[in-house]
Amino acid sequence: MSNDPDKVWLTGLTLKEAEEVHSYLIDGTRVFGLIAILAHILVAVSTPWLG
Amino acid sequence: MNNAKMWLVVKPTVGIPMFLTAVAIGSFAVHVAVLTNTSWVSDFLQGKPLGSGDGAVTSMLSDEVPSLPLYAPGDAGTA
Repeated sequence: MSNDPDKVWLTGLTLKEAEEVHSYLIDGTRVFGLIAILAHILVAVSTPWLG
Repeated sequence: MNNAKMWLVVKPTVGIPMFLTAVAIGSFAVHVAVLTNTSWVSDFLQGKPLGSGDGAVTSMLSDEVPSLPLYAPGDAGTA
């Protein structure tokens, strides 16, 4: 796979654009994960879940 | 950022909805599994206080159980 940053690939994106898309996806996943961890802690504390 | 190159061969307009759909279906399935394999959620939704099921189970496991009759005698032969 070429690392030419200016090459336009099949999807119409360059490597730099693909990395930008991916960074947003990673950020969204992190925020989702943090909210999910917080929600699971609250449920574990306040309900019989997990015994 | 190693996986960023996937967007060079997978259109983000296809891949991102697929990713989000997979997350949604996966988490929904896990929560359905919790609901169907436990009773306390449905008990809570029926208005029973949380933890009241523990007392019911404890009383079933207490020493009083062996004193109960092992069978309920019917009235066969009396009629």
